[in-house]
Amino acid sequence: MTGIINTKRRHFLRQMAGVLSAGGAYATLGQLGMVNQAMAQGGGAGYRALVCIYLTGGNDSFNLLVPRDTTRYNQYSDIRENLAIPREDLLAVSPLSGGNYGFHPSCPGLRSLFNAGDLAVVTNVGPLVAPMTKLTFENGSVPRPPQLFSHNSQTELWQSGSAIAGMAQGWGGLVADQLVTFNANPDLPFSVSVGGNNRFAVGEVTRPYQIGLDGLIEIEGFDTQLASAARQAGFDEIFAAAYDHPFQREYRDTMTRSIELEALFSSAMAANPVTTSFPDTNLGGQLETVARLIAARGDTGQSRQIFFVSQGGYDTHNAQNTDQPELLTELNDAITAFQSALGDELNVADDVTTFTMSEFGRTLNSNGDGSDHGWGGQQMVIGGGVLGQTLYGTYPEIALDGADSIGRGRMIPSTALDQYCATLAKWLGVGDSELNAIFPNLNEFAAADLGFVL
Amino acid sequence: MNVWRAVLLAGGLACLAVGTVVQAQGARFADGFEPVGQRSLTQFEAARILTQATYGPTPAEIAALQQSDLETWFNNQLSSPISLQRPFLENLAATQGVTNGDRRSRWGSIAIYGEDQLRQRVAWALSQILVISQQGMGNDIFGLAEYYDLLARNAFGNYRQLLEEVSLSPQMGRYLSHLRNRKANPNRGTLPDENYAREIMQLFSIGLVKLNLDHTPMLDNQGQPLPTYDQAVIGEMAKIFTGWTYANSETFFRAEVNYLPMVCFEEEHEPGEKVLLDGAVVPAGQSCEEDLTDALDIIFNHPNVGPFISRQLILKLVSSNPPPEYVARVAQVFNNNGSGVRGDLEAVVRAILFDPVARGMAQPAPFGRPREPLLKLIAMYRAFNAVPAPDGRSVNIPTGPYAQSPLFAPTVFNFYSPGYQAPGEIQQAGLVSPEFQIIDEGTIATAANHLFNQGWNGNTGQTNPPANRPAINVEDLIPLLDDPAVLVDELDLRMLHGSMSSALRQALIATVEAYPSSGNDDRKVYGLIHLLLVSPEFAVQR
Repeated sequence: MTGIINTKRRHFLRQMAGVLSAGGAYATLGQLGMVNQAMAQGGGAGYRALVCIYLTGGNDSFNLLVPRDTTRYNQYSDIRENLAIPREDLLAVSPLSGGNYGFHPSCPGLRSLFNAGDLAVVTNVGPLVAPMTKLTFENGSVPRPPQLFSHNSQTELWQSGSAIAGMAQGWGGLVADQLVTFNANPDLPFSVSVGGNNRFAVGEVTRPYQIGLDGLIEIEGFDTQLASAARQAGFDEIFAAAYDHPFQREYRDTMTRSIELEALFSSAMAANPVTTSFPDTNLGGQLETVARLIAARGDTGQSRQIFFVSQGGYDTHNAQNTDQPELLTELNDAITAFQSALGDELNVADDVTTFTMSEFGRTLNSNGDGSDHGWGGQQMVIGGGVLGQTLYGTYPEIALDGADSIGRGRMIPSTALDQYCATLAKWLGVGDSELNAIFPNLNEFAAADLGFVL
Repeated sequence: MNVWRAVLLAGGLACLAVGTVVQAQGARFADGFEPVGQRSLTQFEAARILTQATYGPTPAEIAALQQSDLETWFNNQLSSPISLQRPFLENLAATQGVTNGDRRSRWGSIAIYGEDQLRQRVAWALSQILVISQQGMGNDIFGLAEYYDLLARNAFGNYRQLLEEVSLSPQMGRYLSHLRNRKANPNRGTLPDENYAREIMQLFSIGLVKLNLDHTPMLDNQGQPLPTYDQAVIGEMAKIFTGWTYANSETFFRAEVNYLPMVCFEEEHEPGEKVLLDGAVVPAGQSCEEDLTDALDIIFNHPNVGPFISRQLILKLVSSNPPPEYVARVAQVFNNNGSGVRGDLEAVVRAILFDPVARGMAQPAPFGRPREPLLKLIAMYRAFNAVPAPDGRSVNIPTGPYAQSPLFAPTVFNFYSPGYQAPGEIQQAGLVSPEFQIIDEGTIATAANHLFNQGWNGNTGQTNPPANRPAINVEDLIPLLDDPAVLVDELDLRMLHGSMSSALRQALIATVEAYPSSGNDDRKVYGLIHLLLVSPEFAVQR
């Protein structure tokens, strides 16, 4: 802490404190809403949001959506051994794109969304440097993505939106950088993470607002009767000061954002209650918070937003047959409630697109009690704008060492995550030329837009 | 002359250069002619050593260390009796049900009151490298406690032995699923579980890319990092960790859960040759135990282990962005403690703490590390002479507000990654700031509020302090409210080892001067402490 006082910051803190104590936040938020409506007449019309559900650990998506035709089901059943779901338990669907598949028995809500045309599955998607076949994988003529099968390395690739190692930003954050000026108050966070720290929402200009499962937390202790004015003045002084260490500055700025944003968003969320019942689970709570933030969009002046939530536990090396059904039940129930809130209560079903990411699919082959780290896998896209009831891409051949697999049923992706992510980014409003800047490898692949959402 | 003494001599010259700068600022740092371990210490140096090497300074320990020297203190710590969790909890279980809350409370009691502070601080660091977690482990309370005790027992031991005990821990076996991992079954088409095989290499020993002694990556001629292993090595390593299950098992699948080292059923162990790192061969025809010994030797002797583990320990004790030469000096000690022994953690910890980079009082930014949120709570209790809860054992160590808690990481990747870069300025400068991965707009508030409630509503000046936590005692500071500068300087010593900026000092003095005159002096003192606890300067351990 040095003696140079950052007067602008100090002024803002004081102003916020004044607004709150005078009960005037409403007026401020109302003004933001009006600006927002004015903006909506121009370029960034209407409202759109992306919601990323990150499935931490690598979801075994070969049990999320399973081929039900006799030939492929038998291949599946033989190979997956004790991990195979009985055919009669699968929740059958007949995609418009053809074939006969079944959802995991824990996912009746997802099946309903699929059949209603509000859910699509993108098959065998994963990190690729360029299109790859088993031949080019083996002869090395196409570079492999770095550190395949490693959790944190593959998470970074998924969240950065390409197979290039060491990207400092996430694709959600870079999208936010492009679109932040759509919002009436570009200083407010474009992205909000309720699901913990992530690379996905970190941009060059923007960074996510991270709030916990318990919602927005106000700093306590300064409204206590004793000496609170003196302590508040001391606090303001400390957090308005300049510091010589980058870690001290980072901490100071995080605290300042925490206080300013809590004041703003708490008021907006309190003014826009959500009554839809959400399951009392970790993911249910996260998506409920997202629904409440979406409900408050008019008051915070946001016409484009990105949200990040996460669900852990998918690294099912063991006890997969007990653990995965529980995980998918939580996922199914949370998404079902979320879609209900967006559609029935908030009337933004067409304006919000929710999608999954997970660092890898898993081995088809069983280790006796679970599955190990794989590569390509299935992801889901959900929303009123989704052209659902359809599979996008190619479901891989069910074989341990077939044309699509590099052994143990680790699948070479047939769709690049760059394409998957770019399709979503484009829907939110990113232009074609900016897409190539955000996804530098996109030109390596045939389609920049997979067409699963309008 | 052994290796680390030569390093210290070289370091002494560096101290000299740093010392001249600091002396101009007020002579808080003794000159650097004596070996760093043996020279007398200022109270600020003593407080700083205790900040890095313990759970935080206490007034008594600052005074004691100042009367002593680092070398003597370090040696005393080595021989201090070990504080254990499991036996304590087993005794407790004789009279009542025991929960994971009791386990965390025991951790808290040891952290606040344990005499073996250095050992426990190193064990805390190890628990964030060799991670298992209550999350996903159900209620195996004694097993979790025993695992932590295992880390504490080996904190000054040899890393090879530690790696073996960790690998044979049934709790690790459950967490990374090599317990009851079976050999391939050609009829069923199953293959061994690869989980532990991968993480023992990626996280516990060598990492993903080949490293130089100073932890910089080795590059190929295209400038790309060289991987340490590929999927084939993982598949082979997975075979090593087959056949192991709980001790005293009737059969491979029938056993009582316990915390004894796992045993192996040969008929479930993958036979045949295994080709491991860089083509090293574990021959066919060996027993489970022989296979394990060979595999752990191969891992342990990989040149990456020294820089990989040394840097992680430096990050968790001293600084997030250590100069490469510092890492290399410590890694050299890991490779050879001066007596030809590899992996001697006592020598490694000594090298980390005695290094001139750690001991220099005026290290320029970005030296230091974000203070771990939970350790702010422990440091508060220690700095302000916390009186134990009435039952003598209750310490409220929560799992939520600090986003960290003993053996409670969300995954084997710990609460935060050693490579985490906070977005913005830190990332642009190419720095890492691991602990900031759990300090965000939400947790910065939950941590501040928990600290507030523990101190404001938990001090000895209250009529009825809560019974489920220690109560801080600020009675010795209350008279200083009449002399705010002296009060603030005392807080500076106990919490910031004398590094407080003059601006922060002025702000805190002004706060005291602005206090109303009426009573509640204990809370006036705590109110000031809380400002410091949540301040940007206390947020960084320097």
